[in-house]
Amino acid sequence: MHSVDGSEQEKRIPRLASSWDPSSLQLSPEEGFLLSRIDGQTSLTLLRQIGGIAPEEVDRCIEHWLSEGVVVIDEGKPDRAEVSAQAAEPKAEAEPVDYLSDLRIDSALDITPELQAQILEFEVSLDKPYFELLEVSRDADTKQIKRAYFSLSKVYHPDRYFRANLGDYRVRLERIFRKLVEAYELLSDPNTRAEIERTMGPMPEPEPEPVAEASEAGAAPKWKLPPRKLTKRQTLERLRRHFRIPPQILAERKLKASQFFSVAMVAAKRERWHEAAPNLRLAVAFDPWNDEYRTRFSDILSHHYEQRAAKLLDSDGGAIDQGDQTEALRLLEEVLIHRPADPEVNHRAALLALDLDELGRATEYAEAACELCPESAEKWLTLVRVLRADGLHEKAKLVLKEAARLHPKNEKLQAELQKLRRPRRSAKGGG
Amino acid sequence: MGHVIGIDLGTTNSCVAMVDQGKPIVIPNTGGYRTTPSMFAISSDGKRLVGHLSKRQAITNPKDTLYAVKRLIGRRFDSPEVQKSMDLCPFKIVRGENDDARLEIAGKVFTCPEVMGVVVREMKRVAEEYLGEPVTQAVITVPAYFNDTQRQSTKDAGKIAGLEVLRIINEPTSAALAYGIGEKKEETIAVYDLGGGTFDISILELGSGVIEVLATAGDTFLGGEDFDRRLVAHVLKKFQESDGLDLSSDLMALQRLKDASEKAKCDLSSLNVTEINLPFIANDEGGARHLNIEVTRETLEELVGDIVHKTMDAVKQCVSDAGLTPADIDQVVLIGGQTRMPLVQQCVTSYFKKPPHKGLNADEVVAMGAAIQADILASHDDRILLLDVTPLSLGIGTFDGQFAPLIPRNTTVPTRKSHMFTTTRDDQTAVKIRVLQGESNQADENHLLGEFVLTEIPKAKSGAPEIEVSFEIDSDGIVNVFARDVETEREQSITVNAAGTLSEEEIAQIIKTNEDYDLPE
Repeated sequence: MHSVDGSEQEKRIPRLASSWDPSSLQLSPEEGFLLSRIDGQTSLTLLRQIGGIAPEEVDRCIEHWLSEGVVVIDEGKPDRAEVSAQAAEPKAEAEPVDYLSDLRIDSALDITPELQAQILEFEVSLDKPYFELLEVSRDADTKQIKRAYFSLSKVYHPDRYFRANLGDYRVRLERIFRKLVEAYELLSDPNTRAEIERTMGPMPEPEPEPVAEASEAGAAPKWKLPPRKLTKRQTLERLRRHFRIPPQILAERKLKASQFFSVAMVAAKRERWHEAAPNLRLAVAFDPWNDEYRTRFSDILSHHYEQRAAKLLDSDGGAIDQGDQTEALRLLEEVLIHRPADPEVNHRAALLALDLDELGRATEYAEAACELCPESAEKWLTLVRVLRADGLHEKAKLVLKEAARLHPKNEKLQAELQKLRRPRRSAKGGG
Repeated sequence: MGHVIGIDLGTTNSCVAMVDQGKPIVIPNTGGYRTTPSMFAISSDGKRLVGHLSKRQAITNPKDTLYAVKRLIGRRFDSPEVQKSMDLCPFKIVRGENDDARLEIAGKVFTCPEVMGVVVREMKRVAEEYLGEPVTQAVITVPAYFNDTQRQSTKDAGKIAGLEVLRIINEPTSAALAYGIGEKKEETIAVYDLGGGTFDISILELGSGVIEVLATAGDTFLGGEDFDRRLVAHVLKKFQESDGLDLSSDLMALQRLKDASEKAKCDLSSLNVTEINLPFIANDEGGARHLNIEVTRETLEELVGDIVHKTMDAVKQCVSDAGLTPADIDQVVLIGGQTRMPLVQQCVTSYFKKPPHKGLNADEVVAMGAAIQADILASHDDRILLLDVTPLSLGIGTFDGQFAPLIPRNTTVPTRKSHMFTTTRDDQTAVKIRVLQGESNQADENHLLGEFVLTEIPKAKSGAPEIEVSFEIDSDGIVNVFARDVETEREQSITVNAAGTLSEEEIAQIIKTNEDYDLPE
């Protein structure tokens, strides 16, 4: 359960330290928003209610900034009137409440305010790791997990309050219950449980004191580190350490990513690139640290584009729409971003560009194709065609000679070369 | 809130129960019977008859007497099940406007929910007469294998009867509730239900007052009536051998034979030999013919052995679906009249290596459980909670005719799952989504629940828009679909109305028409 440090915290008002240099911090938009709300008048409680950021995240940021010397907290009684004047929420003056503001407690409903508070509290902590959600230890056996799931279900299953007037608590209950089912299903299947445990890393231990950091900072007390003494790189390093996603949440994200990834891989195996690509995109979004996902993503995306390009060009012998050709060329160029060294794709792009009279691009791709795969006579012929279309006959001649030298037995090339010679001879004879 | 009742709406018989002073009791009808035949007829003088009255005249009025309509409810006319029924039933089955199966008797066409509604109304009347006050709410049971359309249609039947259906629950779950299994101990049980028209097997897990369905399997088209039919066919063949007469086109003879066979089948559960004796079954040049054929238990077991073994295949499948072995099952519960047959009990006992749980009347258990669930819901009883699962996978048809399941079967409800969709053509602004239920990889082989069109997608290259579609099944089993364009954040939500079910207007119309007919006492 989430705990807030009671009334002590209520009265604490953070303000920005005067000696602070904003350029020394690297902030996410959420952190930036939070920092912008710190004005020396808004209490911690209100900061937690501001929304957009989970209360525990607010706590973490503030704690971190405190230790960085960015923010200081003036202990002592705040001026209540001032707080309420600043507050966006009109209820700020009410009894000290935690972030589960009593605004949402409705005594007209069929469930007690205590139960409502309990539901709200459970709901905000739904992102907890599955083990904590079910209130079991990490070495709990299947029986204990099931028992925990059953007993929580008896509290949070919507049927428990069948046809009762629950207001928006019905939706909350359904959300909670779905999450409980998810936790139970994942933890009671040995495979998914193993995956969750693997991504969670070793059993949680108390966070070791950052010894290295203290020595790096010399004798200065940790929370008064003058930011300027750190290089930007060091600052980033520190920030990353502090703002790293908690391992459990990371584990869940990685698990989700791996689920999307496996869906994508199944689709990819069946060469259903149009399905594989969006799923893999989600996998990358959930787990951007995974190199395999990224590599596979670029690979699958290029397949996806290639397939779509091929589809556009597949007209069953009929005329191909010019719009389709343009689009296909664009798709092939996308593919080339991912696979620049693919001679076939370069060659296809060259032919398309030639058809579309995009001679500059055609030359570029045709040259690349020949360079990447000089043993293919076909590619040389394409390059010759492109150069001729562009009016570069001399260059075409040189290329043709080079190609013919490389492929002495290729009849087409030799014939082209003959054609090139014949006019010269006839010119002599005529003269 | 007044009394809430539990109704076991069976294929052949229905039963109504309620909780009185904390105990479930079965409510007998005015004739003193504890179950009522699920039959509806229109007599030759135009009277509407239901229950025992209907059954009593069935022999003389086979064409206008409806039975086993539960097998047809929520099914398409073209489904093999409906086609099979057309071969077997003496009444006329016709194609309805929504491609559903409808029934024509005495020149009038009825929808299946309407006919089932007549039966529900009769059960409601039984309860009201017993209580002396109106009853407005009920829990109705269905086979665990029923799909969403069949469940919705059953709800419609309740509405037509003037009841608010609090919940549709599965019959095996209901039985477990009635036995009060798992209120204290943690147990895994198997419920084997072989009734008149349906067969179900379910594996339930119970403990700390929570009942969870681990897996269900079954066949909505297999039951005691198949046993009767085998016996009828056997007797017809014997009679033709001995007397050279084919009775299979003589409706009156068939109905008599059907009743006699059913009785003989029941007798053979306790006796080793019985006889089917039907004097004056037919007339020909030689005068009146009498049918008198001896049937042994052994003969019956030979006739239906394959059906029983077919049920055992489903049992094995279900146990393995639940990820269990027979040894993991702590108790076996038998429900449905057909489970009185010794062969069934032997097969079940030998597979699970333990004798089945008995004690309550196999015909009444389900209704009692429904009454208990009705009471739990209405009174917010916190001792027991029923965790229900989806009986069939829910998913969508992909553009190449495949089925992509999104919510696999046996997922605990309420549940919600999401999937990303995209367009297949450039500048496509609408996507049609077909919602299906079933276990086949091919979309067409599954049951179409409904379809909807997602519109106002911003124009873009094919494959570029990302549309997140979430499927949600709420605790009432209603399927909702939410679609969200990831880029524009535009949201659309749709409640999927099962294809082929009745609209609110149609139901209202039927209720109004029904008011014109007073059912006789």
